[in-house]
Amino acid sequence: MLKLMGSVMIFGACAALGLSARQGLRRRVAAADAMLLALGLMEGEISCRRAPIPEIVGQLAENENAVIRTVFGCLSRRLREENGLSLGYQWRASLRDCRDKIGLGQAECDILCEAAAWLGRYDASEQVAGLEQIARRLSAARDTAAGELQNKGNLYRTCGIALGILVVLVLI
Amino acid sequence: MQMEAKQDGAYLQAIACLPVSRAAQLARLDGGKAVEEIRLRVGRPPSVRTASGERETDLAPVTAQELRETLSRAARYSVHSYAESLRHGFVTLGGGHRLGLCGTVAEENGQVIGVRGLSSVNLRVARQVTEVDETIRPWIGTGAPQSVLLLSPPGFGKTTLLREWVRLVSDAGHPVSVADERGEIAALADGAPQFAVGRCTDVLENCAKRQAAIMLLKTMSPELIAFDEITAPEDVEAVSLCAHCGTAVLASAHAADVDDLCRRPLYRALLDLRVFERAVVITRENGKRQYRMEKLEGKTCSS
Repeated sequence: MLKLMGSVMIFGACAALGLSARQGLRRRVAAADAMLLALGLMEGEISCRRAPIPEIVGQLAENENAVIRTVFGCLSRRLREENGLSLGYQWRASLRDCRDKIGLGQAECDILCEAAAWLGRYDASEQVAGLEQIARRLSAARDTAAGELQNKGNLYRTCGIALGILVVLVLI
Repeated sequence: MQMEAKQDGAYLQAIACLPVSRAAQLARLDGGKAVEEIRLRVGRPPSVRTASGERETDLAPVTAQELRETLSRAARYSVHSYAESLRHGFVTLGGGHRLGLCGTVAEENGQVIGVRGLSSVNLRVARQVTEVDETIRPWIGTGAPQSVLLLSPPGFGKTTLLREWVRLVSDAGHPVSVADERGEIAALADGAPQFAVGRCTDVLENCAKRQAAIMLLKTMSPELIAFDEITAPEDVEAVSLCAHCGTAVLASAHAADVDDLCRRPLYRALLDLRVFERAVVITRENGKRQYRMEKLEGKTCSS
């Protein structure tokens, strides 16, 4: 009986390892998709309404998408703190603070952080051009992550399950 | 008009656009309630201007970095939202306060596109005044609104008087529309005016006066339209549009008096429209504001 329970636990642990690796890739793609959506919304608010950044951030902090809500909720809180730090700093800090929580990849996070250098500093057309460029690069990174999910996602899952079976067989 | 503020919340609200440490220093300053303007010049300590004049504080000198940060904070890190007003050298803050900018101008095709390399800023504190001088109150009248032009040099309280005039006419039950191009009359925040502008007042903010006049006349059917600071031929056109639609106009202009007004072609054109029935001239004597009414009906600049 103990042997059986041990086998099940070892199999479960190995399978979970594989599945969580796959899940990490899925979250990375979902986070990139969400940030692309957020960039699109920012672009629209800037080009059509000339809305100030804190107002856009406040709106995004109430978005239905949990990833967008997490990142922009964090940024909104930081802006409200009135601590004298620049928008660029707050933008970078919020992305880095939330990166693990939302599953955003390092490459995607770095691309988004680059917006800190110009966000809110120039007129609407420059801002929109900048956001479009960031969106293009983020989209390319997202496609890479999606390719990785397709190629390695199933591999991680299968390897996890196979490893579990192998260890159980060896132990039995 | 009694220029005492109801509270110095306006001062604290205005200095909130300054860097945190500078705002804290200025918040501790004595006599904040009487401060009308705060001037920050690179390399000099901040100065404050009250009705009795400008005085330098004993605080640390202002740095260029501080001015850059002030502008970022004032524009809410959103230059795109304030691009038009930055072209004119100012940013209107929440609460109707105004940050005027000085420095090296950036030009494109002969047009100013902004101010870079800031050398000084002037933070003008906007306050609500609800006690109108007894001399002015009868001028506002109880019947249909009249067309009136408010005249004074800069910083004498034209906008403050205009706002109060609007409130009184509006509270008397006349529909009033405000073309608040700079956002200083009503200071809308989330659609609600931060200053009391009356129960029958509609505000159109951030819109050029001519366009605002067309929109307001079409949509709001006002008995009185208020414009702040007539400074360009397009503004005169806006006044003309309203006048020829039977709507009274309340406007302000920079001039020491009516004769001064007549010396400038733009205002001669304004007077030639024969829209305004009266002018209220604001002067300052011994640090106190004085008000004088002059009839404009039938007046021409040559007469």
